[in-house]
Amino acid sequence: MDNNGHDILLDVKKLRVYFYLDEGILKAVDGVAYQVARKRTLGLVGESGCGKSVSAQAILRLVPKPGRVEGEILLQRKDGGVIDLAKLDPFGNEIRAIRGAEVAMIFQEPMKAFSPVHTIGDQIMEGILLHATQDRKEAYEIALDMLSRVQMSNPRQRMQEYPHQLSGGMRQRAMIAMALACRPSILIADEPSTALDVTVQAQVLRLMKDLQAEFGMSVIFITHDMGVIAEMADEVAVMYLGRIVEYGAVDTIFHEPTHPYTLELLRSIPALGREARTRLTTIEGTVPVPLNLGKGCGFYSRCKRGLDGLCNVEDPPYLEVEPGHLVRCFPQGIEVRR
Amino acid sequence: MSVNNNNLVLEVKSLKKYFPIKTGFLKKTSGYVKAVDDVDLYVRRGETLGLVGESGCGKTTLGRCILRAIEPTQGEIQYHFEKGERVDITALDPRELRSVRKNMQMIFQDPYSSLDPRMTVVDIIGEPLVIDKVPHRQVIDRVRELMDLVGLDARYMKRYPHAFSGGQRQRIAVARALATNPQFIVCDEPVSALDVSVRSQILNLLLDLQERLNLSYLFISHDLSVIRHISHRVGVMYVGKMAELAPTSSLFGDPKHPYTEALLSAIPHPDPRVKRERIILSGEVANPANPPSGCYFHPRCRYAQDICAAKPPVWQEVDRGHYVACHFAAQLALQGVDR
Repeated sequence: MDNNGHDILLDVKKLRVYFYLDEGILKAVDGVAYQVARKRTLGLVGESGCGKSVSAQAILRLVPKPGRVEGEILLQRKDGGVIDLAKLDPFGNEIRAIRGAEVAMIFQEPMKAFSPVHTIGDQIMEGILLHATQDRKEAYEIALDMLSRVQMSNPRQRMQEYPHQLSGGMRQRAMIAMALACRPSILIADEPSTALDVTVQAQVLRLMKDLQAEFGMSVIFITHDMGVIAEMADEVAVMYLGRIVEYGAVDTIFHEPTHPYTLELLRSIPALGREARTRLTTIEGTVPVPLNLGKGCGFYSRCKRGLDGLCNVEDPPYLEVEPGHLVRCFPQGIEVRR
Repeated sequence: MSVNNNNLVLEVKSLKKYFPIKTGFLKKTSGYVKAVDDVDLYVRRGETLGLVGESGCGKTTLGRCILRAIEPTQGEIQYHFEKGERVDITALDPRELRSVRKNMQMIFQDPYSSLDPRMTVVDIIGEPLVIDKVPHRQVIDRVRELMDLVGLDARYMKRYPHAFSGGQRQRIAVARALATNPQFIVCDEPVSALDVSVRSQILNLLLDLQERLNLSYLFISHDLSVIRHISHRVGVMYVGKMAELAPTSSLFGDPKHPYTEALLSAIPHPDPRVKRERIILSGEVANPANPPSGCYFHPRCRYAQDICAAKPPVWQEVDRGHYVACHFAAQLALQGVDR
C-alpha cells in the first residue's frame, strides 16, 4: 500500500540498465524508481533517448544484449506472492510464465510486432495456449472473444487474415487483443498511438481506457506526446537522460510543473489556446548521449537556471516538494522559481 | 475563387493527380487512385497555408504536384513572380521549369534520409548553386551566409550529415532550400520526425525566416496543433479532395465541415483539466481507389442524410475566405475548439 491507500502492484527500485559498449558505459536508465498501483495508469514521458522504453523493457527482461539490468523490480503476482523480476534469468522459465500472462506489452509499430507469415488468429492463440489452456478450440474461442472486445469488425474472418491485410488502426486493435488475451495485471504500452492518425488515435485511446476499466488492469503508458499523457495518465514520471526528473499526479505535472525541464517542455509545445504564430520557448541544444557521463545534473547544459559550481559538480537530490510530488533538482533551483 | 491577384505567389486551379492501377499480365489500367481530385487553392505572398489531413489523404502528393516533382494529371498551377508576371507551371518545358524552380523549393520530413550521407554540408547546401553554375568562391560565401541564417556554425561546413543531430540536419535542409533565394517553399511535415524540444526550435526558425525574407509556405502536416501555430490559413483534405479551407482562427473556432469538427475534437490537449466532448469517428479513411458515392465522408459522418450519398457536395465560399464542400455547411452548427 502506498500513502494514498492504493494497492501497489509493481514496485521498481533503483533500476539501472547499463550497456557496456566498447566506447564506454551507456547509462540508458540510471537509478529509476516508480510504483504502479492497481487499476491506475502511470505515464512515462520524455524525448527520444531518455530511457523511457528501456526502463519498460527491463520489467519484462527484454533489454537487448550488452545491456544489464540491476536494481529491484518487485511484482505482485496473481497468486499473491512477490517476485523480483530483476533477479530472474531473462531466458528462464519463470520470466516466460510472467510475460504475456501477468505483464503484457504493446508496441508502437504493430507491423513489426506481428509475424508476417502467421495469421492474426494463430498469433493471438499462441499466448493463450501457452498460459491459459491446452485446448485449441477453447483458445480459438478466447481469441475470437478478444477480437470482438477490441471492436474489430468481422472478427471470425480476421482470425484467418495476415497482418498485412489489416490497416494500421486494425493492427493496433489486434495487438491489444493479443496482449490482453491472458488478462495480464499490468499492460505496458510503448507509444501505442504514435504511428496512428488523430481520428484513429482517438479510437484506440478510448478503447484502451474502456478495456482498462473492464479488466481492472494497471497500465504503464509510454509516450513523448504531452497531450496523450494528459489524457491517459493518473500519475506521470517525466524522464530525462535515464532519470526521472519529476514525478507527480497528472494535474500537478501540468499545472504546477517544478523541474526546469518539465516547465520548458510544456512551454515549448504548440497547443490549442496558445497564441498562434508567436515564438515558442525553446530548450536550446539537444539531449546529450548518455555515454560516460560525469557527476552533476544531466540537464545542466540546457538549463536556463543552472548554477555553475553546484549543478555541474553534484548530483541533484530527489526532493519531495509536496506529498507525492518529487523533483530531482537542488532546493536552490526550486526556490528561485517560487 | 475570386481573389485579389496582386499579392499572390501561387494559384492552383482544379488540380488532379490520378495514379493508374495496373493489373494482370498486360498491365491493363483497371482503375485510378484519385490522390488529388479537383483541388483549388491560392497562397499569398508572405503567407503560410497549412494543409492537414490523415495519412493517404493526398496532401504530400498535392505538395509535390505543385512543384511538378510528380506530373499532375490535369489542372493549372500559376506561379506569380514578384513583378507581376505569371507562368503556368504545368505548361513549361524542362528548361523553363528549371529556371522557375529556383523560386520554389521543398523541405522534407525526415532529415535522416533527405540528406546524402556521402556529401559534406557545404556540398549539400551549395548543390543548387552549383547546378545554377555559380562560381566556386561565391558558393562558399553563400553557404557560409546560409548556415549563419539558419543558426548553424559555418566552421562545420566540411562535415558530413552524420555529425549533426536531427534538429541540426533539418536546419541544413532549410539552408539548402533557401540557397537559390526562393519565394515559395513546400514544407512537407518538416517537424514530425523531431523531438518536442527541437520541434519548437525549427518552428521558430521557419517563422523568423518567413518574416525576414517574406517567404510563402505551403506547410503540410498531420499535426493540428503545429498547423494552427504556424498557418495563416488552413486547408483540410480528405481522400484527395479539399473538405474545408479557411483562415486559421475561423477553421479552429468555427468549422463548417463535419470532418474538420471531428478532427479538431480528436486533438489530444496537454491539460488534464480540459474535458472536451470527443467525436469518435467510426471506421477508417475511405480507399481512394474505390471511394464511396456522393460525399466521400458520408459513411463516417454523423450528420449524413440521403443527399450526401447521392450527390458530391460543391466547393463553395460560405463566409469571407471560408470555403467548404458540404451540403449542409450553412445549416450545421459545429463545435470548434478555440474560444
